[in-house]
Amino acid sequence: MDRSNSRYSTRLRTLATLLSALLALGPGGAALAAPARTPLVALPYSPLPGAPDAFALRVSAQVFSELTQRTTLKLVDAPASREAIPTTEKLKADAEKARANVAQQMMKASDLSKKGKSKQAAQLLQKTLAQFTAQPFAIDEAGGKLLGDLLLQLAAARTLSGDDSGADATLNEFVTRAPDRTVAAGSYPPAFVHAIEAARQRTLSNVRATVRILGQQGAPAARVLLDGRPLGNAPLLLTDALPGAHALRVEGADSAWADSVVLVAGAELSVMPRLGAPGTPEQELAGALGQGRIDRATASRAARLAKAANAQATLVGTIAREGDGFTVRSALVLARNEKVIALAPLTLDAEMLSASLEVLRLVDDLVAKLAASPDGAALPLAMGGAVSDGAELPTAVAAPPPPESAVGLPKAAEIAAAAGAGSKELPLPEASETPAEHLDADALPVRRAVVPSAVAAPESTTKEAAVALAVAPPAPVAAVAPAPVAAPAPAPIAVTKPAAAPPAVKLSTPPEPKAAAPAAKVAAAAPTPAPALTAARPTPPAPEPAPAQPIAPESEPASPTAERRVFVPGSTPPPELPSPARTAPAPSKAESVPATTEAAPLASKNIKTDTQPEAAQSRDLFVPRKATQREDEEQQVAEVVEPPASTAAPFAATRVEAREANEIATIRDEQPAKDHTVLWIVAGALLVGGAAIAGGVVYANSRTATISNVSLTWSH
Amino acid sequence: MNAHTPHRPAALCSLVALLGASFGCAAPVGSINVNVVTTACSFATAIDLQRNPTLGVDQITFTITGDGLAPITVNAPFGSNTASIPNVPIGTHRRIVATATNGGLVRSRADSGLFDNTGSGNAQITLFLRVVDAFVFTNDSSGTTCSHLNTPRAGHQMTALPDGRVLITGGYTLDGAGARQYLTQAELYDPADGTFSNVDAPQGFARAGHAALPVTVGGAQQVLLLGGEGPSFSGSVGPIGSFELYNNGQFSKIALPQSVQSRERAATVVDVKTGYAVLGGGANGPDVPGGSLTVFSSLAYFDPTQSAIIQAAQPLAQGFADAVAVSRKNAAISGGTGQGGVVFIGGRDQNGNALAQISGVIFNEAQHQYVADTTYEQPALRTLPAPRVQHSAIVATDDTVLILGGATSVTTNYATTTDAITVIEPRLLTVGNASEVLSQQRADGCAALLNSGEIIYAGGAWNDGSSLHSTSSVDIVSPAGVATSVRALEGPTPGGTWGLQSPRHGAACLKLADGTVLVTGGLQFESASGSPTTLGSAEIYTP
Repeated sequence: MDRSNSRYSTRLRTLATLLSALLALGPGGAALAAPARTPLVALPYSPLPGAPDAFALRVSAQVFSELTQRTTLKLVDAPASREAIPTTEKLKADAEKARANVAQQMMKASDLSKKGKSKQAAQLLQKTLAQFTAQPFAIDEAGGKLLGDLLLQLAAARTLSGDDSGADATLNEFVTRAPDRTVAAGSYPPAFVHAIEAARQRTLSNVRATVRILGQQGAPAARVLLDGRPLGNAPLLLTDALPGAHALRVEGADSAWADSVVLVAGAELSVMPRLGAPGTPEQELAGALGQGRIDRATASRAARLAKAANAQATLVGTIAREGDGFTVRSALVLARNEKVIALAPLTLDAEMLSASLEVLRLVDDLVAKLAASPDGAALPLAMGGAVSDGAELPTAVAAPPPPESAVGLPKAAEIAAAAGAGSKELPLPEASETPAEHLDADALPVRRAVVPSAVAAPESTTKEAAVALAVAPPAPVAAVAPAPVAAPAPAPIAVTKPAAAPPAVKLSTPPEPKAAAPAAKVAAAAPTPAPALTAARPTPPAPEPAPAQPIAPESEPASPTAERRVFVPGSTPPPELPSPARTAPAPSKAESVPATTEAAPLASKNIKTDTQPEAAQSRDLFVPRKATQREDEEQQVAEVVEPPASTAAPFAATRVEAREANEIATIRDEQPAKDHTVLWIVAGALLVGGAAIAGGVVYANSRTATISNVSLTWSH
Repeated sequence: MNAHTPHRPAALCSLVALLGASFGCAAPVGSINVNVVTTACSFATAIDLQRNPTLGVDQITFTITGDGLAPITVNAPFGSNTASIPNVPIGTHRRIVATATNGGLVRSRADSGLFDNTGSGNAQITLFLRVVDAFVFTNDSSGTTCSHLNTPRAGHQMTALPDGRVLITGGYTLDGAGARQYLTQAELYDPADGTFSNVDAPQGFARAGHAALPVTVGGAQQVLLLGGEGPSFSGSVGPIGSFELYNNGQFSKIALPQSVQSRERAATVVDVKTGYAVLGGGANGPDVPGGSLTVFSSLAYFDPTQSAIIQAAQPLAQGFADAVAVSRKNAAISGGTGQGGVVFIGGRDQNGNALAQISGVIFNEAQHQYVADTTYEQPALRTLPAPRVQHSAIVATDDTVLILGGATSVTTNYATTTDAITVIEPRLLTVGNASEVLSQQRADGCAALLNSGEIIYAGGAWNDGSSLHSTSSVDIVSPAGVATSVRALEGPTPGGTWGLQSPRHGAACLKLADGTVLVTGGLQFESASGSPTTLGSAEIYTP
């Protein structure tokens, strides 16, 4: 493929040059050579799997021809020098240098640790790790081993520096990148070995990701390494890769390809590695385009290519077979700001019957957009590329299976668990072509399915709505919301990827939960230009309107002084009490109490009863007296507002008035004899109970010995 | 209805209840059942037969003491097999001592240690009758089965727990190839039944040559593990910087501050006045005798009140490793308000040379930090008569410091062992060797302070000029300044010569609550090959 790419690239460049020369020599040559021409690098279209090279060559020639005829454009050659863009040889050299640097930094960190400077050691190792993982080309088998060592040492340094959470995170990454790596029990402190094992349990329980490594047609066998671990030959389907950042490397007989990838739990990443002899920057760029997308790295590479050629932009494109025809996708990458501008796609038949018109339309679009410089497309930009069915690919084991406890989780629940609770950002794959996938709500655990609601985003139907990742409601939300658990209907939890979503997964809270929604539904589609997922997460459901709770008198103080006031004859009559308390039958004692307390300002002599002795703050003498006739009338009102007798002390309903001492006896004599039988029975029972308890204590004490007999036995 | 009438039934009921409760009020009598184990577990040799605790015994005497209790003594013919002490009032700190005699000469003794007799239930006590002034192998309550460590080990530590049991931590065992396998499995020795059992939870760090110090954290006595060497974070054997606390069967890690360096072979001790676990000097490098190594002059301490490890602001006067630290209770800053005091003795320098240094730190309350104890900066107190490594040091009851045995230079073959007993008397500002010496030159023995104020120094290793030996020698040292005297174990018969049942060095020694001394594990040079093996046996000394 690379050789053929190179071949037709050279032919096209020659063809374009000839066309330019012919036009320049013609009558209009002077006018065409006007200074307003915009320099442009045009790369041959990259055929995606299924698209023949010859067709790509024809399309490229047609497009180039049209480009050279435009007076506002000037096609320029890409630089022959590889200085501007790292080449394979340079990458090889850099890889060796990177590995040597890692080894050196690890030794330095070890020295720092020995001197007790574990924190500095951890910082140094962290920096080294960042540099090393940014060079995936360096992570071959030896590099993978080194990466594992580096992560272990970083975890150890973090542990020593007291950064246990950092150490745990590092160990998680260690297991993610080196799941097969075992640590001998005696080689590290047992606590550390246990921490590694715990990280292993944690990490292997994660929902897995899928990586599809595509092979090129007719390409020789190429070995696939994930973080330096050989997994088999491309093409390959990894269905159990651990989510997280990885270095993916594909090695041919005399060449290699590598890239940093971020795998997302439950999502799939398709990769089209481009192997071959060390090629030109154009070829490497074409190889990157062969993955059917323009990611940031590809855009950057194209922009640098344009810069190196003093061009304003680079035209790149892919050709994919779709049905009986082909779709030509093109994009401009601006040198100045690496902005990627998608151009109108062309649909061509195999014979290119309508190609001239379509190409004309494409170049018109190019010229217009180059002049207007519209907003760039969000990256990665899908450039088509139907991939082979996963079933056709051999599969490989990317990581050990999860611990037993995690195996049986329903997929939606796993995804939910992976998404975590609350709003958080998740890394996204560079490209994901997961087909639409629906998860049955029945697969969701009940406690999740019954979360009241979520706003269902529109289901993706187009390829542009590429990845729709379903996120079930986070378990903690459901777990902490008792009321919704009882709700009868499961909630729709559908999450799709809006086209213009920001480049991160955000779990957002829908404004209004909907209570009776259909079963949770999880939709998944293919990648979209917008690399973000927005997952709807239900708001913690509002509790259902609770029945009116009785207000306990003690929790609702009647007045600041918690006094109960009564009316004394001759004082100002009380105003009418609030109607609910006065007219309606008191629904509960609690309701009647506040009504009574509303009358507090009406007290005339501030005499308190002992109905609430614990609340009374005055030590005034309360003296019972006989009510007057007028008071009897008022008493009817007062009785309404008094608490029920069951909560009142014996004199609670008695109106009191201070009187002369000689009147007190009379009043008492007038009191009707009350039947206190129940009271006395209760008192008696209490007394008997107390006595029994006391007796028991006495008895128990009597059973504790005050002396002991010591018995001594031996044999001889 | 008369409101007062219910009083009568209530009162009646109460009376009935009280009467009912009074039944069975006769005070019961508690019981303490004491089983006296009268056999030793090993009679493999003729000398072992001499360790029979009842050999020739004709009488056995039991004495019970305790708080508020006048000692009660009961004599019984040994052949009677039973005795009783009736009507012993309940109370705290009870103790039963059994003494078996042969014609009036004490043959063996057993001590229950302190216990509380609360009167509830029936107490069961096992007394192990052991021949006096001698070491015997530990045995279980059957009397015939020797108990021993579940895992043979050396370089381990023993720490007394509040309940009387002994925590045995760390160490290493030598595998078939002679390589050290560092241990995380801790064990417990229970003097009540004479058995060893594994602690369920493993240590977080395998370590040997560490310290296991009793510290009081949150009002509870716990055990602090610090230092030592073992599998380290470098992926190989190295110093263990992490601190661990043992409490109620669990080990928990304490975060090590950045300022505190990981180290091994530091001098460690609990400051008896402050309760801080002090960690002085130490090294961070390979243990190559004669080779250079990185030694530290820094001082760190664990403050149990904060559960924190603190790096002292003031470093030591010089760096050292393999020094021995002791804590003197009478240390004080002259004219100051200092309290506590730690003395560092001997050790080795960065070139691997043995040191004769004596240095000290003292906790200055005003500054709230450890400062140099100027007492040991005076020329008369600054150096030992000779360099010392692989030695033992004990603070005697008179607050003098005795240094026992050891070597005068760092070698792997114990070529320069010494029999000297050096006495540091800070109050007199003198340092000198006692006129009497140990029964044998040796190093890597272990020492413990007896209740009598004497010091027992057991085992060790020596070189006869042609081969290495572990010794069974045990010396009893009576501190008296330069007049310090030494005697060998005599056993129950005056003039006898007794020692360890198993020659050993690098063992761990600990005085138990009943005043006996437990010795466990260690190494033993095989007589044929001269190569060491790790021991699992345990012996106990009865004064």
